Amino acid sequence: MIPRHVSIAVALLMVVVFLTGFYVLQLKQKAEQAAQRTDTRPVAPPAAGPEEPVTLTIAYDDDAVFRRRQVSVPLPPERTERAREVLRALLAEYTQKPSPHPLADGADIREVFLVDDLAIVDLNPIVADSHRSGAFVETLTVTSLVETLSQNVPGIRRVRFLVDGKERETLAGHADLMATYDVKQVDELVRGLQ
Amino acid sequence: MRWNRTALAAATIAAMLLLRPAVPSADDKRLVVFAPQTSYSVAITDHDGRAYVQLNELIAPLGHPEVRLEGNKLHIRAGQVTAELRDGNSKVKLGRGELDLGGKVVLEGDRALVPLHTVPQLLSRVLGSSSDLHESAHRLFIAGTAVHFVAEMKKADPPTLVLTFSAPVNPSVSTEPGRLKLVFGRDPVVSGSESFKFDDATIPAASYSESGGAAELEISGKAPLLATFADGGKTIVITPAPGATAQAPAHPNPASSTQPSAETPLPAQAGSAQPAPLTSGSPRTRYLVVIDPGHGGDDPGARFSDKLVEKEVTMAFARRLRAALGERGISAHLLRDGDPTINNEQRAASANNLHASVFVTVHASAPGSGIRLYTSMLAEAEKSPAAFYPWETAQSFFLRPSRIVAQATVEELGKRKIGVLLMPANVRPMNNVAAAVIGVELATPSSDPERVTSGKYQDPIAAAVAQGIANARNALEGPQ
Repeated sequence: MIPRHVSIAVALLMVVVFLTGFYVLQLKQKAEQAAQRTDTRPVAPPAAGPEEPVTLTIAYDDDAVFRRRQVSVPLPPERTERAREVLRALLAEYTQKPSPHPLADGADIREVFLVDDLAIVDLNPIVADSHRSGAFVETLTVTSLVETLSQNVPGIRRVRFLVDGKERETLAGHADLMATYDVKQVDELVRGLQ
Repeated sequence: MRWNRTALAAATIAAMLLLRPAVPSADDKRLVVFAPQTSYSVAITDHDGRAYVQLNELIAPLGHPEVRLEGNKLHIRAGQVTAELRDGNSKVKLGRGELDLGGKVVLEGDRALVPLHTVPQLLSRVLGSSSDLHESAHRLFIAGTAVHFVAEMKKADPPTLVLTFSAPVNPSVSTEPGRLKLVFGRDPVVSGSESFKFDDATIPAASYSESGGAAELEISGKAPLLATFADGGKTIVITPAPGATAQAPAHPNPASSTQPSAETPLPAQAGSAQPAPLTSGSPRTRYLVVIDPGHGGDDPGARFSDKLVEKEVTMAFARRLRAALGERGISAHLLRDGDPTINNEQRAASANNLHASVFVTVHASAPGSGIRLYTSMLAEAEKSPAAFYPWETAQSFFLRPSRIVAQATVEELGKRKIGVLLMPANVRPMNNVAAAVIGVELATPSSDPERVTSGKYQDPIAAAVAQGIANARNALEGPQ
């Protein structure tokens, strides 16, 4: 004869196992739904090429500083594609969890155009549409993009931004995206906040 | 491939630099329709010297009429009402009755063109809605949508003209020497009177007119005038610009006619439709601080909590800063003193029209503490332009005065032990302003969002910024 308290304990254990299983199933379904909701438009394939060292200028919101970090990234030989991959490496830092400067999942660089000393960075809409609103956090995003690009692609002196192929007034209500960013000025800001 | 990319990049840059919004031609006449649910415009075309509008286009936004073409007849069904229009016929069959339009119907494909002057009659019969057509002005008001206003002169010091509207309005404000114009392009403003006389020497009169789908209220001023929005856009207050009242002689003096009273362009609250270029030789006759409370109206800015958004924080701080400047004898003007929607171009245009000495744009965000103080990130221009400042980089000619104000403000914040981070940043619309410019961003921890709007937090900061601006005055007004 099984004691009564053991029967109750086993029954409770069964209930806990059942509820945990149900909860895990729910989490899995939610994760799948979230994955389906993310941008499903085709993006450029991952870059192919030998891994090369890239210096990222990463913003840290809590400390209000920039820190440089060297990573290895596969870089294609073509200059504009290299520029895009460099910026994608930076966005990868921001979209991981936890992140020192969080950007939304799916934030990406659509294209980078290079004409003489001017780079035009075309951000995908997720970068801007889901960016936190605030002069400081928006400036950190723009500054780290400009600095990372100019540090890794020689010859860039000015940077402009497009969002989804179009001009946009601000990133999220504050940082001016109609401005042409002077690499020298941006570099001074980064040095001041290191 | 490489050539294609280069061509694409060149095209992109050319488009960015050269393309401007298309300006409609003067011949592009449109009827502006104000309905309770929406406002829109439809094309006006000429047929046999008469103005016509397309009936389908006119009534589509007002419901979902069913339109069917049979031979040379067009059937329209809207609810229980059916209308039959015949090409070349002036009579419209309406149910069992008939309506004489007094002009021929023109069918073009499945579209019916009807004479403009018959529109109120047709709408009344087809949709059952009363409407009021201002034919020469190309404005149509359906179901009592018109917004009325009263103009009241308050003979205080300074004299104040208060325009009170029956619903919120958002006109574009522009200035010319001797007058301030409010143009109501999207608001169904109407007036029973075309001219207003006020018993005041500074603001003696106003006139109302309508044309091209818009209404215009022109206020005459013997001194530069300011327009300030209040009561959620239902009230517009017109006052002489700070320090300008003295330019208006209480009693006209022939001797004073040799001194042009409107030597400086008249300032405007919400800016011109076209940003006014500021010439490099434009005079600054007074020390005026223009305060830009960031965001407003449809644009709430950052959200701190369910109850608190950035536009409320910036408004509260802007008012505190104005009071703090006033205590130090410095004139200050708020670009909004309520909750209208003002875009960044309008903000910069207003500051430039006002010939601001100092422009302070106010923002707030979380997380953080203390404040962040911004000057522009533009590279400093080497020399002033011969004529006009470039719109996108006007601030590059004023970085030195901007840094003087910023540094003086940092010192005052330091004296009060308020944490400050001074850094360059391109915060819209700082770069478009031709004046000493600072951006003030109030920062608060995410865990305590309400703190950012409290007087205990804002008052010392407002006092420090005001004192910094006061301390910079001599340096800004002296030779640089």
